[in-house]
Amino acid sequence: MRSLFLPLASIPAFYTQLAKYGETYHPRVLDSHAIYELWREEEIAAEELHQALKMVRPVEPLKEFFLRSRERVASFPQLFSKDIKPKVIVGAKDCDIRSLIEIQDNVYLKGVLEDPFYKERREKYLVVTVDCPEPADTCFCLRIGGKPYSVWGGDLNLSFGEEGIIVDVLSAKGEEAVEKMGDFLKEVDKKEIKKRDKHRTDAERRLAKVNPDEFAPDLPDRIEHQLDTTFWAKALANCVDCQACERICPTCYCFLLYDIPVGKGVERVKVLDWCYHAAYGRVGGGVNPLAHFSHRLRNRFECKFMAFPRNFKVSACTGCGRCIAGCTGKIDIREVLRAL
Amino acid sequence: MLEPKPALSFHAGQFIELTAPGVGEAPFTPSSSPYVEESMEVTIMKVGRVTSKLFDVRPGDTLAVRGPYGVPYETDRYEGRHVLIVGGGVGLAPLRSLFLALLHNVSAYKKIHLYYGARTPKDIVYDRLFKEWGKIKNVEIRRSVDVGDKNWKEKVGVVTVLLDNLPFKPKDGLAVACGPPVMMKFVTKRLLELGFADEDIYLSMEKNMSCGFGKCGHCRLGELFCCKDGPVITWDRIKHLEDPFV
Repeated sequence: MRSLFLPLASIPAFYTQLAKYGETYHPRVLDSHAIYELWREEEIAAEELHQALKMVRPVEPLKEFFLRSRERVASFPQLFSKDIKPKVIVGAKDCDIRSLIEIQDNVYLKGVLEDPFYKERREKYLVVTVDCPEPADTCFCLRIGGKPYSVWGGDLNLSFGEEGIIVDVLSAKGEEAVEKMGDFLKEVDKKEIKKRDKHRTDAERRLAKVNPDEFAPDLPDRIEHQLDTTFWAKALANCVDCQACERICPTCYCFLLYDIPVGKGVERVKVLDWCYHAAYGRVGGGVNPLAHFSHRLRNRFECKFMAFPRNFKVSACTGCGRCIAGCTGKIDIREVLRAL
Repeated sequence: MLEPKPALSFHAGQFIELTAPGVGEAPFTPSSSPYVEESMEVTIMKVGRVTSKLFDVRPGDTLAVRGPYGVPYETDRYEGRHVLIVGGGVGLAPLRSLFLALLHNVSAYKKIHLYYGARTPKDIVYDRLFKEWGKIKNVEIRRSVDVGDKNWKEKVGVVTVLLDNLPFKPKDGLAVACGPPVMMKFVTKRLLELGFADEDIYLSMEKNMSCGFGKCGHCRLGELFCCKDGPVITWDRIKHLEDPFV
């Protein structure tokens, strides 16, 4: 890995150069949240772009670039070919890059079959991760195997020094991107690295303060044995079934295939599916093992904190806190996990 | 009867995803012998959108099929042992494929016991075939219905009544079951009471199998996925779950 220095004033030039690789998305502040926006080389002050990079994870999970909410995956009798063009996504935090590498890759790139659409996007998309110097109260990555900064998984990583940004080159794709950048990327001064390291330590300290207690190490067993439906019903007490927690989760991966007639042919469509849907588990004939919402809640926890760890040695949660921030009923997943 | 082109071979226990054009697809376990490669029979009960559409299909129509998926029955483990097949309702359809596969080499097993329960005599699937199967040496057949009629001379009661007075010791055999969830639950309970070993109870687990290869998440059962780890799963792999038959 090598590191370079990006002066703050050169952030727009950095994005412009990245955009030569492919359509480039960067974080932008909207109503005190970061959201992804397409880079259009318009007049945006470098300081504004800098502030957006410092925000916690964008509202949209990174997976939205890789797993479309609705996508044609086959057609008959007419065939079609995939048309996936390179993209650059700037602003993913460690929680989001881990959601790809540790969760979505295990589902979509391993096992009996690979998902060719996901695979091609993973190959073609360049991901620029960014440190998280000011974690939010909803963040708990530290308690679930993550860090408020990323040292692997993306192609480039941006972190914050004294007077600019440190660009860590993390992959061959990242190397290829910076090679074409020109001379605004400089050598890194030790002072910048020192400042970056301090930011990282401070962020970890803040996260530890917000989340003082570790989760129980035997969460899979606790969930397996938590059969008391009143426990799950209590956890749901304030739930209004808006399903926001599922839709913004970076690790939820379920999908559904269905067919639609198009002209004289048929298209097969893949849509992301959500296990809180009442019909999620229903089988032909109408039998539904997840008929009650409390069953579906337990099913979700079982999937994330029991089945996934047992199959892949990692929880299907990265502690991004989106489910907490987005919950209409103010349900905090950390409290449910600690109550187990 | 399907005639997949190119021919689609499968092993007993595996399933296919069959498409009703323009409506969608659903999983079905073939009910024909896996030793017949040029065609495949699927027994379908009309219960939903896809199956309703499939009932409209006429000879010569084109359907889409993908697969086979899932893990076959471990028939090598059955050799030299009694094989008890317990079917309930239309759950006999997938078991028929296993039964026909076992008949292909019937002398390899001590005896094949085909026990079947239906709600009423009218609900019995493959009624005509039972007469032929009953004539095969090394095959024992028992049947029951929940509610009989004036012509019914066999057992009356739920399928577990057929498990009384087994003609072999459970340790000398294994059991394979398929049927509605409640039937599976009580058959498993009874088989355990009789002394069948956990790993000798093969259960066809019914879950919402959508993609067929362990990605879409719907058929997760504990840490397993019915589509790629099953759909036939032995009791020892799921007995720790709260209620795998719900």
